[in-house]
Parts: sequence; C-alpha cells; structure tokens
Amino acid sequence: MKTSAYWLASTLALCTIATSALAAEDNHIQKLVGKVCSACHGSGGNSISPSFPKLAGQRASYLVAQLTSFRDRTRSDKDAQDAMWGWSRSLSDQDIKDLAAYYEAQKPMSGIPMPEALVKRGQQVFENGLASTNIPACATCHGGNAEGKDNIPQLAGQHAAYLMKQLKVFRTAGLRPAAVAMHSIVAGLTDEDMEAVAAYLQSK
Amino acid sequence: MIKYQHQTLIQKLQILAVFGIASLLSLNANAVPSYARQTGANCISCHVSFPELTPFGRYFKLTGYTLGQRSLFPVAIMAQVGETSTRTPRDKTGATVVTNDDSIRLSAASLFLAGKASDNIGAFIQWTYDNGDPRHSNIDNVDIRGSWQLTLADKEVILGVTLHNNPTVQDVWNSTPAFGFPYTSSPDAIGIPFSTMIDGGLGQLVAGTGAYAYWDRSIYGELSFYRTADGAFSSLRAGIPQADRVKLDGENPYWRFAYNKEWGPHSLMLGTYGMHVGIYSDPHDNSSPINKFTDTALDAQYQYITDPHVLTAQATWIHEKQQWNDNALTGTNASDTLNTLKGKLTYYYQRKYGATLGAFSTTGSRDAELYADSPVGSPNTSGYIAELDYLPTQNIRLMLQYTGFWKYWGASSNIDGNGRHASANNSLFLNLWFAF
Repeated sequence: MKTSAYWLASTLALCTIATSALAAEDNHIQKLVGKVCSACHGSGGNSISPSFPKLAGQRASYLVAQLTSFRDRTRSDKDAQDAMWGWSRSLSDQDIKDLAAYYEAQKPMSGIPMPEALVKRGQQVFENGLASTNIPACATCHGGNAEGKDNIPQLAGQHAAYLMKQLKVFRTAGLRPAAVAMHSIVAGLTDEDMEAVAAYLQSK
Repeated sequence: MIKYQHQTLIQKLQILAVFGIASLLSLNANAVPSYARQTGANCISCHVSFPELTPFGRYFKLTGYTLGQRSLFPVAIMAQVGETSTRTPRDKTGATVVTNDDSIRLSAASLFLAGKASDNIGAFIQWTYDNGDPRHSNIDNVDIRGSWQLTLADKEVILGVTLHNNPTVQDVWNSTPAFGFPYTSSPDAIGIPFSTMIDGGLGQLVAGTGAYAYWDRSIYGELSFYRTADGAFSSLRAGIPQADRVKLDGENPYWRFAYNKEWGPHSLMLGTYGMHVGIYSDPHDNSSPINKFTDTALDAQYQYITDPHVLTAQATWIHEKQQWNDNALTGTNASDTLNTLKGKLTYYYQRKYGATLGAFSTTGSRDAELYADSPVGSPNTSGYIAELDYLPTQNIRLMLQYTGFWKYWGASSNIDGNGRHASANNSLFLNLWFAF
C-alpha cells in the first residue's frame, strides 16, 4: 500500500513539475491548438493523415467562415457532422478569429510528388478549365498558384484524398452552402478529372 | 431473469424485437456514449469499430479522456444479446458440454462512468452484469488517468499517470490483451482454455499504478506496478467473489515500450510489454509459497484508415515462464512455459460492413496436474476466428462470429478421452451489441 502510494504520488509530482517547468502553453489559443486541433490537423496545421485537411497557411477568412459554419451546423457534410460540429461547439467568435490567424501564420509543408501524367492533366484542368463542359479554370478563383484569396481557400499542397472527398461533397447541394459555385462546377467534372486536379494540387 | 431454454422461433423473434426497438429508441433520444457526448465527435473519431482505437482515439486516451466539455452525468450503458450454436454441444456419452446452446440470451450489460473530471484528469470505469451461471455483477475495467502535455525541443510530449485494475487495459494499441481481438466472444461457447497471466489472468483482481510518456507520437514508454486490490484499492475488485480473488507478493512490475509511426493514412506500431508477478498459493496465508510468472511479449499493429476503406491488423506473441512453488501441486512441474500467439486482419467498408479473420495458438510444456482436463496433459490449442460485422449506426453492431479449433487440449481428436474431436467445439455466435 505504501509503495503504491509513494509511486503514484512521486509520478504525479514529477509530471506536475515537468509540465510546470517546461510547458509554455499558457495562452488559451495555444492550448486549444496544442491539445485539440493538432490531434487531427497535426503540429502547426500540417496534418499527416489525408482524412484531415492541412490548415497551415490557409486563408484566415476562409477558416473563419468554415469554423463558423461548423459551429452553426450550416456546413453539414458527413465529416463535419462526425467531428467538427462537436469540436467547434464551444468556440467563441474571438476563438475562431484567433485560431484562423494562428493557422494562416503557420508555414505549410511542401507538396508530395504525384504521378507525372496525372499531375500534367490536373494542371491543364486547373489552369485552363474544360471547354467541353464549360468548366472554368480553377485558377480563376483559387489563384494561379492555388494560393487562394479571402474566402477562397488555398489548395496548394492539400491532401489529394481530402480534396477528392470535398469535390464529391460539392456534388450534393446544400452540404456546403457557402460554396454554391462549386456545386455547378463539379457537375461538369468526372471522377478522373477530380483525381487529376487533386493530384496536381497535392504535388504543389 | 432472462433464461431461454428450448425457445420457439416466435419467442426468439420477440426477444430480438424488444432489443432492436430499445436500440432504435436510444438513437431517437440522441443517445451516444459519454465520451462522444463530451467531445461532440462521433464514435468513429476514436474507434475503427468499438473498441479498436484510431490514432485519434489513442491520443484521446493518452491525454486522460480529457478532451471536450465536462459532463454532469458522464454515464453510458452497453448490452449484448446473442445466441450460440456449438457444432456438437454434447459429448459422446450424451452429456451436455455447452449449456444455453441455441438460445438467445442477454449475455452481459455494462454501466460506464466515463468522462473528464478536470483538464488533466479523466476516467473510464465499467460495472458489468454477467448473465452467466451464477449471475452476478462486479466492477469491470477501470482506468483513471492524469495527463499533462508539454513541448520539448519543438516536439510534443504527453506525460501521464494511471490507476487501473487489469494489466494492459491502460494500453492504447489493440494488439495487447485487454482490448484485443476478439473484442467480444460468446459467453456460452467453449473458449480458448489457457492463457497467460498478463492476458486476463489478473483482470479486476489487482491495482495497477503507472506512469507513461509519449514523445512526438513516436516513442511510448510506461512503467507500472501491480499489487493486490485490497485496502484503499479494494473498490478495484468490487463484487468479485472471495473465491476468485488472488493475493500478490508486494509490488510487481509491468513495462511497455512502443515505437509508433504515422504517415499518410497509415500507422504502424512495433512494441514489447511484459510483467513479473508473484502470487501467493493461498491468498489467505502470507506464509504460503509464492508462484511466480514472468511474461514477455512482442506486439505489432498496422492501420490504414481512409474513407471508405479501412484495413487494420494486430498481432502479439506472449511467452510466460511459470515457477511453481506451491506444495499442494504435488504433480506439477517445478516450472512450465506457456506461449500464446494471436493475430487478426480486419477490413471495413464505410465503417459499416466489416470482416475479420484471426488465428490463435497456445503452446506450452506438458504438465499432467496443471492441465488435468487434457488427456495428454497439454495446453496446446489452436484455431481461427472469422467474423462479419454490420454497424447500421456507430453504436450498434450486429456480428456473426465463427470460432474453429484445429487443436484443443493438446490434440485434434479424442480431446476428452472419449472420442471428441477438437472441431466439435467449433461454434457460431450471433450477437447484437449496442451502447448508448
């Protein structure tokens, strides 16, 4: 009994001392990022798993809009319902602004090489659109380097699997009401077109 | 209470209907387990399918179940209703070997107190009613944690302490025994007869206190000590019958080291764990001889998680050295060895439709007294488990599990000295498992 009590007490004390001495996360947003967001979105917003989007360097206005729509439950794709509705429910407007500013300031990791032929085709669609189905060039809104602008997200370096999933989400009207334009655009894209564009963007 | 012998088809359908409606009502009440209520995230954030953890589920556990908002009533319930059909439920003399065969039964129900207590402390406490023979209820798995996070040389470090009552229940990889495959099995079927001490031999009988560190989601280390769950720790074995209790010799060490790597949708863990434990041969006599067990294990886990495809695999090998000092065991070897090897491969589509294939093998030294039920005094048993799962919602699982034996009690035929084949113990288990 005594040994167990000493063992438990000493390890508790050790953890407390270590965290007191070394932890610098006394800022609310730093804590939120470090303990909650980074669990899925990775350190500094560079997520490892393609199930979760990279947030590093993302446009703050876009992040504010998305976090707000998660919290308000107006963005209702399955992943939003499964995870972000819950994680955003207690965020204040200020938290959302601060989180967005934090992630916009982070340095995105460079893209991941993808098959050359796929990248080439994706680049063609991204930069020139598809005349056959009247699809405008993605670069028109997302920028020549897929850097995004204001509410238009940066796409360069994003996980291809995440981009594919979102492009398919856009096919269903109303799941992402803030992106109405994308609903009509993806109607003219085949799965192969989407894969090519997603590969090109991941490689950037 | 519920006991179903010689049920008619109509009676079985009535029982299934009652539990089916109960499950659906739970959904209408927006009822999900307490961690999901705490985080606002759905079950699949933490589980491939319960209880197998995703990388985020491991993170949630290691950070002490503290993510999310504290709830005033962090409770959840779980129940299982199933039917077992054994290939040959009677032996060659006509005697019943498997009771409750071909009957739908409530096999178990659990109440959980599970949630965040503060920003650094959380708990998983399970109380289970077992509808077996005899029916009883007792404390089940307990894991109370304190956790702290810090940044060291730009790398994340999670430090934690744990108080628990079952070796490996505190572990976050499902290759270790406590939350290893099969995640549930028939309470009525003939199961795997022998396992090592670290594989359930001390569950709900001991108090474990430990400390762990997880560096950069890459290197994990833990050191725990186990002692008898008495005195201030007696609640960790609450409800366990006196006859089932054990007394440990002082503090007994447990170790765990793991290397974890995550890349893209993949995660891989390679690890080792083990313990050394001394157990009094007479739990009421502190001067009685102490039998000693040293378990050394290797384990590995791989997960590929995307939408809609999920592939996971786990395996573990446990080697146990047993030193028998009990004078009462006059015919037992002075020492024995017992080895278990288990592995499984799971595929899920849309986290709804799953299939798992697993295999198990137990081998060990022959010991006529220790394995008196075996005609050849051997623990050697091997076989496979094939399972199909359907999860209409994230908290309901309908499963069909087939367990087949290649070898049982050291033989593939004449396993009972009466001409019974090992495969006569094969069983099919249809189970409805839900939590809310």
